[in-house]
Amino acid sequence: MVDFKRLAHEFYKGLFKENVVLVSLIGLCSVLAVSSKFENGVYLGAAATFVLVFSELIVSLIRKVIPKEIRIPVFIVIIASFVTIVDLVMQAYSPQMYKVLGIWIPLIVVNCMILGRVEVFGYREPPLYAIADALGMGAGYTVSLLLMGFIRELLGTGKVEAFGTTLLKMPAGYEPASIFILFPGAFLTFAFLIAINRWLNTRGES
Amino acid sequence: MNGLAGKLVRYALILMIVASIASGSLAYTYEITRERIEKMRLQEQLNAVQEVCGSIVGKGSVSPDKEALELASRKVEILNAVFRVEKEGQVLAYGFLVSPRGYGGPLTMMVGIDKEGRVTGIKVLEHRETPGLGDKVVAGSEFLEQFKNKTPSDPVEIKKDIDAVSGATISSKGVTAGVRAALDAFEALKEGER
Repeated sequence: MVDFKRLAHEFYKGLFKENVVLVSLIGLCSVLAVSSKFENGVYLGAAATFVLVFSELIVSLIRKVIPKEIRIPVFIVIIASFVTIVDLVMQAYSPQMYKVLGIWIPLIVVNCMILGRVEVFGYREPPLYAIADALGMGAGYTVSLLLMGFIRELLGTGKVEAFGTTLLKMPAGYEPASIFILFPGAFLTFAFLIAINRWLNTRGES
Repeated sequence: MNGLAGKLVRYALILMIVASIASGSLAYTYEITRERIEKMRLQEQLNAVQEVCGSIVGKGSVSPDKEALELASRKVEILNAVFRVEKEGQVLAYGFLVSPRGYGGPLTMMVGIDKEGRVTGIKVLEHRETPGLGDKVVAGSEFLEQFKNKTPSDPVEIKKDIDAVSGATISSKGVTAGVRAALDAFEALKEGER
């Protein structure tokens, strides 16, 4: 009944091969802006993944009754609802983080990753595969955010901190290059990550 | 009814159903998180009062004062809340939550004033100032230190007794207006007592 091989494929493709951020270059605004700190990525990644999974699931469940002429407004209403839910819950339970991410949570509504995946995948495939796709894409987005955040925080401040503990520290004498926590550093780091990911994905091909 | 009209009605109905289910679930989430969000916000404000009133508050308890708010907000429009710091029925200091206009939108700031009318400290809780320029004004800086010990009789005005942060005049003006408003509110309270 359930094709596990396909399920696994839909999940794994989102991690590196079809990574939304590093390959499709989608949803970059939030990635470039928020990745100055490692910890931010954990929260924004989780929030976006939550929204993506539930939006794809709902759209996939009702895909047969939504006429294609009005699919976009329906998608937006569904996505915006889940974003607002995340927004309210975060405000209530993690106000510290809410302050840091602030505007980027409501902006998940217009993150092309969500609308893109809902349109390309959720609207066409059965719920189970839609969830696998959403989890994979969300994970890919989160991994990119975390990688960016890790590199930028490490080089820009000399250490990586998350949840009150120091994860990694540069050797003594390292002079933090604060360009990395500023915007140019975001683009530099991003370019290197795209290049590395491309190299990994095309290795072995002629 | 011809084909097109029927189609339009059907689309409108589908959209309406989707939208009503969505708003229903949003209303429910709002209901269950509202209390907690308000509690968190109040707690944050109480903490801010503790912070701005410095050494005095360590000895007393902080509580919101609705009557004082009503009294003072007649004179000061941008006043949002008044907190009283007291010990054994004696008021030691007040915390005024004011929202003056900044460069990128309203600032929300807490101003602590002791019972003699001296500013004890300032903390900006929410702001949308420009990163790198305006936010230098609002983060605990030398600029904010200037307001310490100002009283209602001081001018508290840029160029008179306050130096603006260069490049961020509007943000500086906003904070200054906030402190002025808090001092005015303090005076309104004092007058009300008499």
